[in-house]
Amino acid sequence: MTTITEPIRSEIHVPEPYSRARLAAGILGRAWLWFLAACLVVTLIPIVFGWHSYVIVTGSMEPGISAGDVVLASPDPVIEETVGKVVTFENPSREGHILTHRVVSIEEDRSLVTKGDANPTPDSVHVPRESVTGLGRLLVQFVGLPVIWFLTGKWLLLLLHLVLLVGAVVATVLDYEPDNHGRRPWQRRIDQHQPADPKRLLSRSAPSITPILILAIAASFGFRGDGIPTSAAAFSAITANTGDSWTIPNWSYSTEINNLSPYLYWKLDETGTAGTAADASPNGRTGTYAPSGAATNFTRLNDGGLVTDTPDRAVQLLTTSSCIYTTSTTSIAAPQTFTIIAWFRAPTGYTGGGKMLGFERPQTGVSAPTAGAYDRHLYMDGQGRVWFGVYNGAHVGLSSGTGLNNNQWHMAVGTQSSAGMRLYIDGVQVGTNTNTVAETQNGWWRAGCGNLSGWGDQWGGANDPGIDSATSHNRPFMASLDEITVYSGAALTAQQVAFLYWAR
Amino acid sequence: MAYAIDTTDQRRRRALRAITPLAALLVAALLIWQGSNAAFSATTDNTNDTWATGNLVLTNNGGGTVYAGSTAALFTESNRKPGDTGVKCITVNSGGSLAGNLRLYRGAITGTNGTALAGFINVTVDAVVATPATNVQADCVGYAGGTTGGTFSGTLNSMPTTYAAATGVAVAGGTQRIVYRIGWTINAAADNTVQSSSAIANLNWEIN
Repeated sequence: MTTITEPIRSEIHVPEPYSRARLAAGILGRAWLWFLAACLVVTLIPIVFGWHSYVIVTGSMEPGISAGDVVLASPDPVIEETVGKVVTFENPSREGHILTHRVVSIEEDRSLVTKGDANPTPDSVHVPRESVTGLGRLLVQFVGLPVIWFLTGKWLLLLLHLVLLVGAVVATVLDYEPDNHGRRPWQRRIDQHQPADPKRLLSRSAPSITPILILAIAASFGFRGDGIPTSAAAFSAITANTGDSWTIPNWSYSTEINNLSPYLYWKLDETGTAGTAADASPNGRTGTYAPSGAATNFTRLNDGGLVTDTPDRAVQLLTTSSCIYTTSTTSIAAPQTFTIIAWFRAPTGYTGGGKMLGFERPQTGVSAPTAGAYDRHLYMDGQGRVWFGVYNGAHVGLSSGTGLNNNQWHMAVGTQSSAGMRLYIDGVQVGTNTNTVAETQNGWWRAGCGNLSGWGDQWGGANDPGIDSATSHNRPFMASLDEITVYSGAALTAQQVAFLYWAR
Repeated sequence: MAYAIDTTDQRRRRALRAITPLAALLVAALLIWQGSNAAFSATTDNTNDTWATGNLVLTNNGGGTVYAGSTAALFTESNRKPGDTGVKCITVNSGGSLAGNLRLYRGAITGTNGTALAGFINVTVDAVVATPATNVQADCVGYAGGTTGGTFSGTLNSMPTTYAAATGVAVAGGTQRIVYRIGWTINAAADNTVQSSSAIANLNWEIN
């Protein structure tokens, strides 16, 4: 018995006790490789069937989808059925970027409202349906993490990953048990007497070799650059400051005039044959229609100069004696700082000129220049130009430069103060000088008529009052007037004047 | 000729090696199934509760001291007229962990005759990234470094209405405070027809 068995036994290699650690490492290595390979296969195979794979690079879809996960999306989803589902789409806010977000609703214009699960608000830009590239179907977690590490420069983690991978391969290889002759698989090949059994070799190697092969293929696939593109599930957040508003009310010209505290304010809104021009300021400084409020002297107009302060009325002066005088018989000292405003409308081609508003003595009518006094006035000359003049021993005037006798309402404003004189037409300053002094006199404000003797040196047309100051010349303004206003002690600023005109 | 005689231990080990791939595949399949289920189930708003409690990534102080996702109007400019002008500041708090690009754009303009009026409201915007402790309020005390109109200059009408169209400020991750200075002027040349008008719009900040 022993003689027979002895030689045979001598050829049988009695295996050494197999190391449990080696076995454990080998099993873990295989498991790791197979796991990775399976995940990679799942991420890559669907691409063959036209699906899209995206490595998620940001975290707005937490906790469902994290950075490093791979989303597999089927193409051409039925848009109407995507509400509540996760879609991949070209980011309308950033060209060339794929976004993975959940559809919240579909707008009337058929665009999609999307939102990251971790975002507090939906995406601000709606997604046109043609931008949708796929419907999220499969999620392979963590597989894209090496990509993330690569993109974000986390080289240590990437290195650790590679070390683990190599370690798994090594552990797998080392876990090949030697055969009964103590040879490992790669040693069998070079053994002339004991050629490897190919079938057995394959069956034993497959569990280890297959995942390594898959990983190698997948790696080459990925590195070619057309493997798995990235998709942001971008963090986006919105904060709002709501209802910021700018409001321009319907400014009332009359109210604004009164807010600036005028000395008198004749709106000339009277109707019928009213003989008194009311003072729209609280001062009660009324005017008197002369010679009377009769229709032969004044036409009451319904279309005054104001546009938004409606209805606005005005008057048209019909005769050479039509005028509006201060009612009070008590004269006042003329102010050195003042603002005078007259709205006027002269027919196209009107060459009569005339005084629209001024300070004068006597209270009514005109006297010889040597007896009376008159300046601080706005008047129109024979060419339709509007002048603002004061007398400081000489005639000091500012002109509009162009004729305003065009059948349109215009606003003329003259101011004098320590800063000099200003003339504004329709809210815009058209003339200025440095004169700060007007004639020292007592008298009354009046509108629509008055002496202009001596103011004719640039008149240039019919009804020239001449420069002969010895002759009295009543120059009635036989056209339309509105919103006669006087400020005493205040010169309105350019801004105030512009605003008043704007608020007309 | 030697026969390979496997011991029981060897067989056991071989079996273990053989089922390892199966187990790994099973785990992978389970993971994918579970992850897909969790991510793609057709549910909406199931993860928003944490945000609703105030853990907002982006807030603003509305020109005051309290930060919120939505704040009351910084500008309530009533009874305005052409030539009027003003400037106010508002601080935006970014609490996202990731860096991003913060942009200001407006919402739709509403209000009576709003678009017409908005065409006469000139707006300037500039912004600076400040320290996390900064809290510049409407009076702009503490604002420094910006150039008027550096981020936007134009009419309220022409202000960007989308994130894509707006000019951004680069914001690092972590808590950041970005102070915006917004100036406005109602064009002195505004038409008389914009009386009785009001332009109302939201100011939106978005970070991506």
